[in-house]
Amino acid sequence: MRILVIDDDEQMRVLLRQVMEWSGYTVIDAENGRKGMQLQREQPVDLVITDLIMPEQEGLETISILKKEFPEVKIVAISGGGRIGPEAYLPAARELGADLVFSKPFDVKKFVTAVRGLLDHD
Amino acid sequence: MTDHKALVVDNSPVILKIVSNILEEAGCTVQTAGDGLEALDMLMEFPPDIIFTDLVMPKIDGAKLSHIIRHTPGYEHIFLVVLSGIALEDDMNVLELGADVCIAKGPAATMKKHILAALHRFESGRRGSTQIEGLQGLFPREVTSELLVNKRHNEVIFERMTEGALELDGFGRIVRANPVCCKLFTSSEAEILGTGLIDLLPEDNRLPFYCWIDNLTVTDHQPLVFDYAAPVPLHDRQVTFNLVPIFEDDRLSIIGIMKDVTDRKEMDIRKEQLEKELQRIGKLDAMATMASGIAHDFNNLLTIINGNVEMARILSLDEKVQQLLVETGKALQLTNGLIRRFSTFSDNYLPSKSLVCVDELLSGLLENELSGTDIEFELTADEQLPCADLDADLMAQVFQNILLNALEAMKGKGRLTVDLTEVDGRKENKRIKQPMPDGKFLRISIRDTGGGIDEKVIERVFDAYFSTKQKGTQKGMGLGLTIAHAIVKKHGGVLRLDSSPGAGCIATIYLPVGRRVENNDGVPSAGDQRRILIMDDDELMQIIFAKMFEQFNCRVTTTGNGEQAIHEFKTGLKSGHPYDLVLLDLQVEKGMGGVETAQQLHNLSSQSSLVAMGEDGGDEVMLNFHDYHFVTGVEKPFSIDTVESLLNTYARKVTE
Repeated sequence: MRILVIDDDEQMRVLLRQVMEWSGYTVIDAENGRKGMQLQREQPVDLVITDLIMPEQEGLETISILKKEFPEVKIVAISGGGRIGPEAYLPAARELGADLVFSKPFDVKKFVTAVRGLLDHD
Repeated sequence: MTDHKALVVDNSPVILKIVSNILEEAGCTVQTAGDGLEALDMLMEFPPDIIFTDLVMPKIDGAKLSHIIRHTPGYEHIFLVVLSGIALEDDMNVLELGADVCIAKGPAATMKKHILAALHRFESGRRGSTQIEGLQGLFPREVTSELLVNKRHNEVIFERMTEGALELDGFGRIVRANPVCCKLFTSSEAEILGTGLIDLLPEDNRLPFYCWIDNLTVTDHQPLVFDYAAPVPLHDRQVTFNLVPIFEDDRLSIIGIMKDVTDRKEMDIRKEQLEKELQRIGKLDAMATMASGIAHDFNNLLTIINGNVEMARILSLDEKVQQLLVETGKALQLTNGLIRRFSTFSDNYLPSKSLVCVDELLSGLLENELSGTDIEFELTADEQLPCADLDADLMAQVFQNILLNALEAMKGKGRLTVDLTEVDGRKENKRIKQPMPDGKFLRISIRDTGGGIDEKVIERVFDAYFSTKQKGTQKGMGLGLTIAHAIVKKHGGVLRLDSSPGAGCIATIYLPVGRRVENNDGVPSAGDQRRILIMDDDELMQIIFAKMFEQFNCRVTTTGNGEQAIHEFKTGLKSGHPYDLVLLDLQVEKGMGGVETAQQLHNLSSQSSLVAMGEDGGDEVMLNFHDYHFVTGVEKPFSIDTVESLLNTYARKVTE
C-alpha cells in the first residue's frame, strides 16, 4: 500500500514518513499540493495525508482536485491545532471529500490505527 | 417722647452727626454705623426700634440692609426710614424697599422736618409708605441717573450669573453674595452676609486663604485661585474659586468668582475609565493575536515531538530509556493542555452555544466544589430567570476559575453568596457608573468573604500571567482570570471584579440574555434565520464561506457568477424573503463580476447590504466601495471574526 504525505513542514513530513513506513506502508512525500499532485499523477497512491493550513489554502484545493481526478483515493486531512485555525476548514475538508480529519497535536498511535482502518477496508 | 432706640447708618460722618443730633434732641438713644455690615453687627448687641439708613454705602448697602431687615425673623418689626441721596433718580427702587418712610436727602432744615415727622409716624404706629418725602426743590442729576441705570443692570447680571459671585471686605467677611454663591454654601443670603469666608471653607483650604489674605498689600496683591486641578469641596460639590483683591486707596475689597465643576470632574473620571477599558480591550486583542500565532506554531512542533517520543518508546528496549520517555510524555501532556488554554482567547475561536439555565449550572458547580468543605454557600435567583445563550463548557471554566480564586482567598473558611438576576444594560450603566453595553443581561454576582484585593492589584488581575500567589510548580498560573475574561467577552458579556482589602471580593458577570424558544426544542424557525447570498467563482471559497456563515445560523445560497446571483436575488425578493447580506467576488473569470452585479442588484432593491470581496485591499473598488453600492469591502481570505462583524453591523437580527 502506498501513501503520499503532503506538508510544508519538513519535520512533519519526516515524522509521518517514519511512522507510516514502520507501520508497513510505502511512503512518498511532497512539500506542497502542486508537487504532490505531480507525484500522484505519475504513480497514484492508495492514501493521501495532507496538511490543511498551508500557504494559499493548498490543502483544501488539493483535496478537491484529488477527489475529482482520483475518486477512489483515500484522504486524511490534518489541521493546525486544537480549536485554533479557521473553524470552517475542518468541516469544509470533509465536504470536499476527506475521509478522516485530525487536529494537531494528535496521538500518533490513534492516527496509525485510523489510517490502518481506512486502508484495510478494501 | 419716650426713649426710643435708633440706629443711624450712613457712610458720611457728617450725615451721621447731623441725624444723630436731631434724634438725640428728640429724646432717642442713638447708635451709629458706617455701613450695612457694621449695622448688622450692631443689630445683635443693640436691637433698635428704628433704623435710619442711607442707601449708597460700601460693603453692604442700604437696599440690602433693608431687605435683610424686612426678611429676617425678629427684625421685621423694626421701623425703617430710608434716607437716600439718590431718591429722586431711583424713585421706583426706593419705594420697593419696604421702608416705612423714605426721605430724600436735601437741605438740613428740610431733612430735620422729615425726620421728626418720621418719628411721629413711628409713634402713631403708621407703617408703610407710598411716597418719598422731600423731593420738592430737588432736580435730577444726570450722572446719578446714568450710574443708577448701570448699577441696576449690573445687579441683574450679578443675580442671574450661573457662577457664584461674592464680595469680601478687607477682613474676609462676605458683604455680597449672589444666589448661586448662596446655593453653593447652602445658606440663605441673610445667613451668609457678614460671615467670614474662612469659616465657610473646608479645613484644608483655610490656611492657604488665611495666609493669602494676611499678606495682601497695596503694592503686592495677587489673586488666590483654587483651580480645577484641586477644587474646594463644598458639601458634595467641587467648586473652583478665583479671588481677586482690589485696593481703593488702601482699602481692600475682594471679588470672588466660584464655579461648580462637579459634573465636569465626573465626566473626566468616566472618560478615564473608558480609556482604561479600551486599553484593556486593546491589550487583550493584542494577546489574542499573539496567542493564535503561538498556539499554531506550538501545535505543529508538539505533534512532531509527541510522535517522535512515541516511536522512541516503541523502539527502545532499554528500561531506563523507557522511563525517561514516559516522563517526557507526561510533560508533553501538560504542554498540550497549556497550549489548549491559550486557544480560548485566540481570534478564530468560536464558542459552541446553546440555551443554558445558568442557575442550574452554578448550583451544580457549587455542590461539587464546596459541599464537604467549611465554606457555607448560598444561591439566590430571580423567579423567572431567563436562560442565556452560551457555551456550557466554557462558562463552567469561568465559574470554576472564579470559585477557585474565592476558595483560595477564604483560606478554607467563609461564606460564598451567589445571586442571579436580570438587569437592563443602560440602567446598570447608570447604577455602577461603569461602561456597559445596552440590552438585557443576566447578572451573576459571586461574593466571597476572603481577604479582598488591594486597589493597586485589582487593575492588573486580568493581565495574563499576573498572579499574587507565589510562582510554583503549577503551570499556567495567572491565566485563570485572563481566560475567564476572554470567554465572557466572546459571549458578548462583561466580567468585573470589585474589592477592597478586608471586605472580600465580588465577581460580577453579565451575560446577554438568550431567547426563550418555546417550539422545536431550541431550533430557531426559518423565519429567524438571516439569508446570505454568496457569489464567488471559486467553488472552494463558496464552501468555506458558506460554512462560516452557517456557524451563525444563517441560510446561505452560493452562486458562481453575477448572472446566477441576480437570478437568486430576484427569487428572494419575489418570495418575500429577500437576502439580508450579499457577498460579491470582484474578480470573476467567467461571467459577470462583482461590480456589475452590485449595480444590477442595487437597481432591483436597495434594502440588502452588498459586500465586496477582493484580493487586494488597495483596489479602487475596495477603497471607494460606497461609490459602487457596497456597504463595505473585505479582503479574501477572511476570518470568522469578519463574518461575525459583518453580520452584526449590516445584517442585525430583528430583535425579539
